[in-house]
Amino acid sequence: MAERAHRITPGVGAARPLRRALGAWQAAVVRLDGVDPITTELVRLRCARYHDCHT
Amino acid sequence: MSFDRATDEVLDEVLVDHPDVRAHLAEAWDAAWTSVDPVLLDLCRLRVAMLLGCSNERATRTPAAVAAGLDEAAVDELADWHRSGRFGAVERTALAFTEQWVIDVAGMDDATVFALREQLGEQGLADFTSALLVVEQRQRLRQTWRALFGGGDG
Repeated sequence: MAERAHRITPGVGAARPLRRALGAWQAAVVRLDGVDPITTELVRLRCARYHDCHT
Repeated sequence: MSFDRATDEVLDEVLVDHPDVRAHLAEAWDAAWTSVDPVLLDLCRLRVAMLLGCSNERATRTPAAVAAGLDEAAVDELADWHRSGRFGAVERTALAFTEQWVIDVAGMDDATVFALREQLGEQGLADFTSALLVVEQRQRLRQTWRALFGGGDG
């Protein structure tokens, strides 16, 4: 995949209250255990690829 | 389960057994409205609702946006914002960004992103993107649950 130029300078992120709340929300979702770990990971990887998220 | 009610009520019921998820989503929602111009964000929230067919969200106005002067005449022309003269450069670039986000986020091109960055600055773009994520995810959750659990027109 071709390297793309940064659209936002590394280190710039959402305002702290919003970033912190989003992080807490996503962490709480990941802690849910209603779906088995393999399916959860497959979905997470599929989402990461679709969103071009390399982290 | 009825979906003829506010999104917050739907979230409260579906997530009743997951209070931490519900609480953190509420925190993110509250933070979104204090991190971004609430009028701009509500216009984009309404455009998301139009694209996702979420009639309850379309009928709702966020109090912070109303307090900040949300223009109902602009809301009336939102579906046709490309041709309307009621939207300035910031609104137009944000709405274009929002539409691409909802329809195909992976297809978001540099021009659409840089146009909004030019209007909002880097920090503003980061804030707007995160706030839009919260706005969109709430509606997608609502629509997905409606499809799964039935009831109401969304």
